[in-house]
Amino acid sequence: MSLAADLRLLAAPAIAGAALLLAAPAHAEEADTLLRAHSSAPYHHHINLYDEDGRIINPAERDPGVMSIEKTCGLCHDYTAISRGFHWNARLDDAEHGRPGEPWIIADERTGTQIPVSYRGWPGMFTPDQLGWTTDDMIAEFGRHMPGGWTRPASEARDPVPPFGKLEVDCFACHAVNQPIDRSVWTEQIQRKNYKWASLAAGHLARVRGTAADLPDDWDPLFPPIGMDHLEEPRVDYDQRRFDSENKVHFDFARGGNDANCYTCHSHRPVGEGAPERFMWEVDVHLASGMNCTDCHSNSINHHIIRGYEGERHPSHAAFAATMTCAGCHYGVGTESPAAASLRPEHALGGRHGAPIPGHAGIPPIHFETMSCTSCHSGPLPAERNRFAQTSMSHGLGLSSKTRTQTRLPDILEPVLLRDDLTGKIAPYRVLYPAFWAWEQDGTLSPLAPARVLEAARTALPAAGTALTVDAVAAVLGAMEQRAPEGARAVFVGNGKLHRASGDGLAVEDHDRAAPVAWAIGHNVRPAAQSWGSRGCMECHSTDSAMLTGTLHARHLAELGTFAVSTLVEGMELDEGYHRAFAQAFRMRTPFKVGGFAALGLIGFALLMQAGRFAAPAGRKP
Amino acid sequence: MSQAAAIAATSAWEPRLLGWAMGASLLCAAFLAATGFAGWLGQGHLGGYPLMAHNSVAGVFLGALAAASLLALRTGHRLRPLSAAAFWLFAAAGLVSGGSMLVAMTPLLDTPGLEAAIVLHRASGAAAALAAIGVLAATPPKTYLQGA
Repeated sequence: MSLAADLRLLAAPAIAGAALLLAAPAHAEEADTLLRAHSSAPYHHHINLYDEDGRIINPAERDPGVMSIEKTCGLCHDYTAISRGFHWNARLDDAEHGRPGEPWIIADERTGTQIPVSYRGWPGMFTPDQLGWTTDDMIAEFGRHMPGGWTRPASEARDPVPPFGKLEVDCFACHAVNQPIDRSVWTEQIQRKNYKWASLAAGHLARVRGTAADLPDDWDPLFPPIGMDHLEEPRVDYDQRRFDSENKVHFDFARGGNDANCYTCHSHRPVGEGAPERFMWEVDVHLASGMNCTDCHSNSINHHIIRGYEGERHPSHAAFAATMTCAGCHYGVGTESPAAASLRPEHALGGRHGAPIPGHAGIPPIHFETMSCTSCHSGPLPAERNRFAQTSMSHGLGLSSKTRTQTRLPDILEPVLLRDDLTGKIAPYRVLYPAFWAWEQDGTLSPLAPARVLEAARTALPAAGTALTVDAVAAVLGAMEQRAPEGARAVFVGNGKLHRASGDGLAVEDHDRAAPVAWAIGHNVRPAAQSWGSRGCMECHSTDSAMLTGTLHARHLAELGTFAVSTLVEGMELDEGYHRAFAQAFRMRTPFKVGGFAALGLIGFALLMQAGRFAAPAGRKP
Repeated sequence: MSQAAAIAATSAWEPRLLGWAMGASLLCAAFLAATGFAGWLGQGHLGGYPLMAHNSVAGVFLGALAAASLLALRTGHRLRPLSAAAFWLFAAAGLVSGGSMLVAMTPLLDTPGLEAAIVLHRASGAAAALAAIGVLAATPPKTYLQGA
């Protein structure tokens, strides 16, 4: 047989195999590469751990290696797809960012700074790049409340690769159940730049010693730089009690995670005057009824978590996501709706997770066309004065601290009723008035991170804990002017205004970048009995209702005296004059109804009498 | 009571009052129809100041219609038959139109019920407007001033 014939014989099965592979459905290929259990019961994770080179970790070895989540969890779960999920896709160009969420807020008491930052390009927020912050800066500041997964873009690639490793997606942070995920330890490891060791330490799988932050970028453990041979890479001492004779570890993981894990990063606490004490707090009505966060905020393996708001453009399951909004669950999307065409019928019908269909007896349907469900059911009840909130992301809730006072920055106002850009409906929001020092050039503001403000005007800044007054701001601006880049002027943004030095004082003006930044309040959802309006129409439609009298006050920069108190009515873009007149008219509502029903009774009586005359036999008519 | 006795029992001012009450209810109906249709055609529903005006006039309308209905029981025989028939149709449609909204102002109906009430209100309001045109066509104008 010739060589050509041999090659043809060899090529035939290869070509046939390739054709079969190409023709095979995607899920068949997936099933070949990933281990699957396909059960509703939780899979018993009794597994080996793998290091970044794919070697099984033996804790008894002298240098057992560092567990890699990508290699360990990625054996059965599509790590690449997961790492593009909503918690980790902020920097992806093709990501669907959706409606604005809570920003990361760079806050500093001394400089009075509170700058909302996000990679997502949401309105009013700066990107970290605009402040000169790198990915490592963001991790150092906010990695405490991230489930890992922040990677440096190509523009920040470093050669040699720094020794602190990659901050992988931390599956444990969300999916671990009944086992310690210690956020304080995680935070400590992050601050030490022990990125690749953080999951191990936070899960108390190992004790990690050493600080990668101390190592130079060109660190090579075999050839430490001269004079640095006393330094060591972080070392791992695995807790050998967690490993069995096959070097396997038992993990209690839940597909839907654990509410406590969600709360790690998504907690908030009310603060300020009138805020309830901790023991008075209530949980969301859905959790109180036995549901979990992920019953609604669910996702497929791509981890595009359904956020659950009306008008959400979900990247992979748009029609299904529409059934997971408040209305989608409680009313259904309607079997005739366009979305229903691509849904299972039971999903379109509502009643998901046993959701009751709300009666809303006596509430005119116009309310549902102009207000979101959350307006009446979520967050704190609107009051004459807003209250304040602290959150995990902004204030590090969950980490023990002695300095987290009730007035600690950032100053987040709640609830503020605003119009939703997507639906045009009124909805409750949390609001932050940005405050920062900046260079202004041709009308464009370049904000300064607190460290740069300190560099520019350390001596002019008031001492920590001292309020920023007009004189203090003017003095700092004056000091900054000495170091201003050519053609730039120093300005201060706060209280919704831009301040610039003018004579002995400050000139105050409006600026787009000074406008408040808002993100919607979804939770906690209150039960019907505690909803806004449950005490009757007059709860909103009276002249002394919070809807008409509610005002917004900020605490931060109060001494500056430039905050313009606004009203809830302005935020809702309502005609105050009309609503006051409407509220006045509501005083006559009860007499109107009594008189109206009396008139109807008389008309009905007359009609019956007249009908009787028509129906009476001829000759007996009166 | 004979027809003659009924006529004798009717006081002199009742026919005049009937004319006024009918006139007032027709005027109100015209306003209600105008604001209702304008709102419906404009933004699909009535809202804002037109709604307040609509509600306020609706109260007057119901009062006037109740008075006209009671008076028509006593003096309606003075109206032309076509005029009387149109008026009772007008009253019936007004009753349904007013009733559908007043019931909607109580916590008796849930959202689908309220939506049905709105549809009923619009339909009966349109019927009342048509009946009002019938009343106007069949009733001499002097009736509203001088009485039936």
